[in-house]
Amino acid sequence: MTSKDHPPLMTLSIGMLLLFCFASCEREQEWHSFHHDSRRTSNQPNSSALSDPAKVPGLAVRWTWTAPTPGPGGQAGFRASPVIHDNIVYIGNGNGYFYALNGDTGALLWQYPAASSPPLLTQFQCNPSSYGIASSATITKIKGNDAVIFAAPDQSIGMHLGDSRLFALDAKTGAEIWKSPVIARLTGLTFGSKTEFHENIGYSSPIVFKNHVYVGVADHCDSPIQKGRVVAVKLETGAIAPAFSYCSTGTCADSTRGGGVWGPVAAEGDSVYITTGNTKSGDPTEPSPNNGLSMMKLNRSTGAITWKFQPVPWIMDGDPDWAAGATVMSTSCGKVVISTMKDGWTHALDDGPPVPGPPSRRWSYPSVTIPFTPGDGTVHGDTRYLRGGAAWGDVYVAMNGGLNLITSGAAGGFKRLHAFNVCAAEADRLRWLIDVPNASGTDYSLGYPTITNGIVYIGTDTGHLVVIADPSLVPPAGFRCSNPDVPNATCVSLGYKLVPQPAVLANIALSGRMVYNEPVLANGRVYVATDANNVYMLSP
Amino acid sequence: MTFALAALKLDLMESGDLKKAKTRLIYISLFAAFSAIAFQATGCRDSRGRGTGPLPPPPPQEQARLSDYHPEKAFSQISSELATRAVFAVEPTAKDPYHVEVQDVIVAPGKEASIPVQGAATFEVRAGGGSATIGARSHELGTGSTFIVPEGEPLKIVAKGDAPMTLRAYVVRGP
Repeated sequence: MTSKDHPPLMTLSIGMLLLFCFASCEREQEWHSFHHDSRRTSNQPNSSALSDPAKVPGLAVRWTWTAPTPGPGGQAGFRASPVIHDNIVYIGNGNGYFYALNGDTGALLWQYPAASSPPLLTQFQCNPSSYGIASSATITKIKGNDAVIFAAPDQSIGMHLGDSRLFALDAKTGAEIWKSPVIARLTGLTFGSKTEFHENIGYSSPIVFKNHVYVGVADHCDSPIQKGRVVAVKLETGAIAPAFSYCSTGTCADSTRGGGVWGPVAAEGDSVYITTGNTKSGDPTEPSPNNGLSMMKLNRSTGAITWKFQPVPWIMDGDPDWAAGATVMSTSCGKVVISTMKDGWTHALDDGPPVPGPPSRRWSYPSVTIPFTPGDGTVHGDTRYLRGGAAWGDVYVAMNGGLNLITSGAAGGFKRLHAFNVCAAEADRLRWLIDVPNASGTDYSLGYPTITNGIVYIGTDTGHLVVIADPSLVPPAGFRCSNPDVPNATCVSLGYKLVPQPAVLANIALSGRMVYNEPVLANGRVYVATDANNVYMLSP
Repeated sequence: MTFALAALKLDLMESGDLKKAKTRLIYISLFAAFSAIAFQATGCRDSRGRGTGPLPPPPPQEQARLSDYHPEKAFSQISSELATRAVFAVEPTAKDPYHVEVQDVIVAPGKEASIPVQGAATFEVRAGGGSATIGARSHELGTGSTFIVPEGEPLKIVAKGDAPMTLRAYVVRGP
């Protein structure tokens, strides 16, 4: 080869390199799973117009797609959130169908099953987790081809009542790649029966991690509670991975029940992370072991428990299901596993080495002695801190009961977002605080927050998409008291701190509640679904 | 870019023509600059977590621009170290002449406060710790502690530690 040959060669090399980089860049702007990634950070780390405070106020709806009206047995509305790959929006609906939409136009590309086929529904319908496809999908590759995996009930198997299973489809065409065996059993429809299985995948979104797909099993509206489980299937075939086994109470074969895995499974390193529901349901004795109401780290290959954090003892179990799922944060103070429990407390744990042993609690907010004990003035009931948070560096943004949780009860925080400095000293824990505008304050007021470079997106129960800027990016709207029951003017003299109330950059009225959904931040666009059956695409 | 630089090195070794190599270096630099600009323009920047340490401390209360937030069930400041609010009250009637009230009390950390109690009361410490002096008797308090104040007895609370002390009082006053 002579030197004259090199310029074209170099041009070609550089061109290909640039193309590769742009393709990678485009891919990194995508949103492949519920909460973005296997660590469930809800964080779009790459900058776009959505992370530019000057451009966010220009957000507007560019297209809307409405799902077909459900047939008999279906329930309108999106409880799932979109996932985005190759400019295609993937999402399942309460009507029992799974859809792929063009990300530019909202045009329907394909649906599964075909409109002429029966929808994916269960006959046991009692709350929104039982309506059609309630959990979000995940994008992966199977044998080199792009695939989308989701969980749904299917009346073609088992006792034909709607056992839950996983489906893997070709992402381009919607063609079936595999269907897993039954994962959550439904063997009868008698409300409260303890001789039938009433298991349900519900809201637990599958995650692909190291050639396996992990998903949690809970129940149909505690009728009665079922034994919580995590199931792993092999990515290439959908077959159950027999080496992995996790059950929340007793043994997997016994009749103890509880500890439903309602939220998404997170994964990192050699582990998966879960949170579990309650176990006290009228039975006179505590199951043994009892892994309910816990945040846990499991060996990803075997399901063995590496550590368990169980702040609420069985005796105080008033149904504070830990449903938000865990977020695994990579912070300046190490790997931190964090989540808000249904009772309103947020707990942050140092992950520690992957060997069995108790986790080290970094902090709880509000600050409290753990475990809770009867007579300590705390209450742990069926309240609604159900949503996972969003992680950004050392910052965690989430629902929380607030400093007035013990004094005023749990309900006050339902419309409130707290941002926490995860690694800071206790005095600096609370970073900012806001009552999200156009959130009603009733049980289900807020959806899941998502974040991109400090700009927080969240939906409300009145159908508003609200965008909030971290005060490091945009000056706050003002300062307010860290205790939500104390007027700002008397805050400091009573021993509390003034904290920023962040600025609201955008507040856009859409149609339908967004309390089950997260605003997905992909390719400089926001994709969000509502329980009014709509998918929206917004961009600045 | 590593591939291109390797190609340049190979080129230098093969031809030994420094001038041509310099031209190609410029050529590559232009591509590198273009690529950097393109990445910025397309938003492909990963700034995960930079600048996420604690925010600067707030300005002093008197200088801070306070937000328009106002609590739905706000405490009222009685003195610099004490705030209270009524959570629930039942007014006396001819049939039932007792006044019953549930009150929340905040005592600022490191401060002593005289608590006005209009009746007999049962107190429960909801957060923080300190001590209570009821008449001439003193008691240490922690979260979860309860104590009774007979009607007419003066009550002083000292909040110890860095956090405010929060108490709930169940007050009954007869006719």
